[in-house]
Amino acid sequence: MKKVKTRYLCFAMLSLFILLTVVLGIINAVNFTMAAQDADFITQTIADRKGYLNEQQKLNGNKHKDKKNTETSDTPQKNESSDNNAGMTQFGESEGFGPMGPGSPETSNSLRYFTYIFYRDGHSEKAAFQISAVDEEEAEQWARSLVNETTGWTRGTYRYRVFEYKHRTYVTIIDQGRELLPSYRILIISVCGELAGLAISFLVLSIIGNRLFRPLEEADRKQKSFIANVENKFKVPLTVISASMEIIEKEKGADDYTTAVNRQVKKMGVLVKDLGTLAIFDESDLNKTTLDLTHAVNTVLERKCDEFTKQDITLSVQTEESIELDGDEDVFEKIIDELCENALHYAKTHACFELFKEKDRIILRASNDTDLPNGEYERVFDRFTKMKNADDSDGAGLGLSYVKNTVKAHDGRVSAKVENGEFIVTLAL
Amino acid sequence: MKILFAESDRDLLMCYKKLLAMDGHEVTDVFDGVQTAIKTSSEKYDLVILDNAIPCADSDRIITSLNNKNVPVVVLTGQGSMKKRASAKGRSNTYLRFPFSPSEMRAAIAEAVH
Repeated sequence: MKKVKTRYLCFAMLSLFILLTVVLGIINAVNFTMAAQDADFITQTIADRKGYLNEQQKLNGNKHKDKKNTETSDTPQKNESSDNNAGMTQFGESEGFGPMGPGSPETSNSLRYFTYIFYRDGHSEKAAFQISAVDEEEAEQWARSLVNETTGWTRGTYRYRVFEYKHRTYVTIIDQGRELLPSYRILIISVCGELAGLAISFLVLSIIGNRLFRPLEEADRKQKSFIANVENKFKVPLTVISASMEIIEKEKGADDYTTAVNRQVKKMGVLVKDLGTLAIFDESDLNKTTLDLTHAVNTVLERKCDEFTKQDITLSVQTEESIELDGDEDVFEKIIDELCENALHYAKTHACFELFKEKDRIILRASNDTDLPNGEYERVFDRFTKMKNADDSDGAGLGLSYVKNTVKAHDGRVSAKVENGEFIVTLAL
Repeated sequence: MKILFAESDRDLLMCYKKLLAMDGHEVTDVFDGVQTAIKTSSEKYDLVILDNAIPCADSDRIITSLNNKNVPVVVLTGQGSMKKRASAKGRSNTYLRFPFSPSEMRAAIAEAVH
């Protein structure tokens, strides 16, 4: 139950983490995308106006124009400004948020930016320079480094656009630091909020989890208690009946009826032993010690040897010396016992048990001859499942289910298959 | 062999007293922990068969006391399987799980005294 609680907590926290990350991630992605769109609106406007936002800025920028290029310069003259402005986005008419948006009439006065023109022959010219963070030389080098780009972010908070006009390359760089500040604040708050949310959720889930699982723990305890009581109520009477039948047979001789009683007692004994496996097996039920698995296998098989002989089943055992394992001794003896019972029920002429090491795993393999067709038989590990070669006298179909659960509790794996007339159960520990 | 059989279920006690007598053993039966303690302190037994859940006593204490006197013990239990388990004194006790057959009881007795 402890493992179930831990898993519940892990899955709940993981789900919450994924949910918060996705939602906050989308919000921040949209936020930054919109900031980029706002910046692009401005840079496009600058591009439409060939590198400046208003006439005043153009004039200021052109004060430093290279006089050699005056005749060939395509910088719009005063009388061309209206033509140049034709078709451009007008500030004050921006989409969306009016005075709050990037197209606010105040933008042209508050925006920090610069534009450089680069000619084919390699020389450059300043078209607008409304920025204090860099000097002209640095700005020119910065713009030159972006000549082969199109648009994007540079130096974290600057948005640039590169456009061509009359065989000249214009590079505009605008400062969006102040505009991005709220976005970065939202990002930081999102991250901190997510971490705080996860921490609080962990506390709340831990507290709720204990209350949530209380009824389940109670039900589990009651189930185990019920199964144990039922087991015990049957055990002693079966022992008494078995002993009484032997006394009757010794004093008055065996007959069909005493044989029938003994047979039924044996069946019930198997069912009662199987009842113990019905309880949900919890890892906390294990009492792990360093166990000599070779000794355990050999001891159980020695004890069962006579039963194999009685049923004319040839038993072969191949075990490597002193294979040790961290495990519950009682549980492993029951595992080997169940494998023996399985072989005793279903083997026709021979059964084989092997125990060996393979790479970093310990392999315990139980095999017997069978009529079943070749294939994988994972279903044999399901509760109350018996294969078609079973009959009513062969237990409740719980033994291999117990084997699977207990091997799993020891971090092992089980598999079952039929290959060339051999039914093989393999435990990898 | 002189055997003390300590078991609270009288039917079980009656059957096994008869069966073990048929096998040639001298069997004394007791129904609770108090009688067990009295008998084991006053008489010597070759083997004690003790129900792990015997009333009116702590079965572990009885087992320890018997181990200290080097008396072999077969413990009848609802848990575990038939096998030897070493006690603190190094004496091995045999545990026999319910339900068991008479042949399993005989095997447990043989294992305990060896």
